[in-house]
Amino acid sequence: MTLFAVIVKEMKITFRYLGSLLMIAAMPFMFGGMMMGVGYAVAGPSAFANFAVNTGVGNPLLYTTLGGVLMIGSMILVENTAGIIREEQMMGTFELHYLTPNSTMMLWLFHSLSTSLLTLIILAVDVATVLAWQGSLLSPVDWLVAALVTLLGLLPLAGIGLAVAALTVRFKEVWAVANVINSFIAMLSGFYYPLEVFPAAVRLISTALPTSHAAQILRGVVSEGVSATGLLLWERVAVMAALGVAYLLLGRILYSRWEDEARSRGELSKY
Amino acid sequence: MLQPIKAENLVKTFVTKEGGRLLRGRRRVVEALKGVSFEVRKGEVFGLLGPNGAGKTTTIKILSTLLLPDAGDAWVMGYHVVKEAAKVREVIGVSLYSDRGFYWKLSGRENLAYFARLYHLDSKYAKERIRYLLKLLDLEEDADRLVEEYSTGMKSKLNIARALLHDPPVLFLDEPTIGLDPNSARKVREVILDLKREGRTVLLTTHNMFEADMVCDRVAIISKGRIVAVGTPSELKAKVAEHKAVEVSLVGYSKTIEESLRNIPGVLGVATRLRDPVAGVADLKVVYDGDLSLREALSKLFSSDAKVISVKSMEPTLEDVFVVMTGERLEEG
Repeated sequence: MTLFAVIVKEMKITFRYLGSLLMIAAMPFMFGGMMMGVGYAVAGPSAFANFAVNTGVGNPLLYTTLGGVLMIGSMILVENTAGIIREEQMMGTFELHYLTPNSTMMLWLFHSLSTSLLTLIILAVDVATVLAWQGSLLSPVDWLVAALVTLLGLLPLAGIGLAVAALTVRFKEVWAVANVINSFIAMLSGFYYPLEVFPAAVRLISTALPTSHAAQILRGVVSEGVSATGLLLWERVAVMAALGVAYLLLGRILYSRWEDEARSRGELSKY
Repeated sequence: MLQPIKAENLVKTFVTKEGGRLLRGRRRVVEALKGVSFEVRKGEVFGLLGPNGAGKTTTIKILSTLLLPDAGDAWVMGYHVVKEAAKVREVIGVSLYSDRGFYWKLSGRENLAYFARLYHLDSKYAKERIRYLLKLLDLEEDADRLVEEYSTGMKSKLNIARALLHDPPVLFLDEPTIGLDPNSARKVREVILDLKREGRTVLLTTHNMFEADMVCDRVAIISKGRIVAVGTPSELKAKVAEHKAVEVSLVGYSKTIEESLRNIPGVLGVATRLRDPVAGVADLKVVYDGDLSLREALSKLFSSDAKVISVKSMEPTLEDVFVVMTGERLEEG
């Protein structure tokens, strides 16, 4: 019932801001176009051939679209989850959720799940557009893997968002911190380029991001069986699940601590 | 007999920051509640009457489990507000703001439906309940308009409807008529009286003495974190019935004038509402005993540098109780 309430509410609000929705849908193409433009400027006519050699992917448009969807989805998720306390405080709805018989942390995570589902819809629309344009198809299994991997890659970020919210809402610096974290996630997840371009230390850090594993798996999906370097599919899925538990647990601990302090300091409603 | 609301010696201190030039400024300790105790009886409308910053909202937030007290205890329907917070939330409805607390891009009905789901109400019952509440609060015609198009009065009524969704026996209303036009305020007061007739217990805060007088069975006067008087409006007014009050409007107000009035024997309280600080336009309420006191007070005023514009004799009101007890006025400017 609670999850349904949140999804209905979020979808209604989102679909009443059609401009934002269209912008979100268009952004993966914009970023993808920009990346391909930069690639062409650097490597000239052999850019796409080089790309196929370095990544195993012969379809850069599909690759960058998937990477873009994952990147935009992760950015929205971190920012939305981190910003939800501030936004609800400003609307005056934050405290009202405490008065209902629900875990507030679960309520905010349901908001994140709702955002993730929206990202999946956009992924389906964007990828289907690319496929329709190129006259090719992904198999149903590929669609399923892409959807599950995207969900598994995004949801742990809700834990990071919640942790950011709990640590920064008191100082009203949520969006600044969330944007810095988003920049790191964007840079270290390999949405548009193979992570092999980075030194080993940076690659090690990137393994702590569920999105880097999701990007690798999606790369495997669109490269028609050419497996990505490093871990096997199930190993990556296991790592993502573990990261999911770890980040959500971190988010829960920090959020609960903030909540107790906020109830004591009278900050549930400060905005 | 179990009292629906009981507060015992509630204490709350806040630490706030005062704005600095570059970083956050100095710490300031604010004692919001300094030992607040009161009881609200079943089916009664109980008012917490006091000016801004008196501790009214802090009290409501502690009772509704949104704020933890530093000391003291409170119970709602027998449940402890700290140890049994979840139980307390089941039996209370809370309206905290008159014009906030909604999703602006949802209609009034959709906002209520969202909160009804969060309260886990059966969907068929929720639809009926929402329809009933919209009718009760005269919002039927505007139920499907987006909240961003609502007036303050409509939002205030929608807030009360939301608080009533799960049919709670105890209701907390924080300044329910603040910022409303007279018609909307009257409607909200009628609804509060309807709720009382339904047998609900209502705790409302207000700084409007007429509202407290009109809808409250009993009133607690709160000032600077302390309750200074509790009783029915008649009992409280009886405390000042033998006293008299005048309101003097003048230009050229100064603190010295106010102090000189306070020092007159028989003057029980003086409170000022500064209407124009630059020109020194002010209304002074003087509560006094005996005509000699009034004569001396007026003599001091007419011989001062201030120019007296009018002198009005007043009927005893709850504000006079407030003036005598605290030396302040309820409403500013």
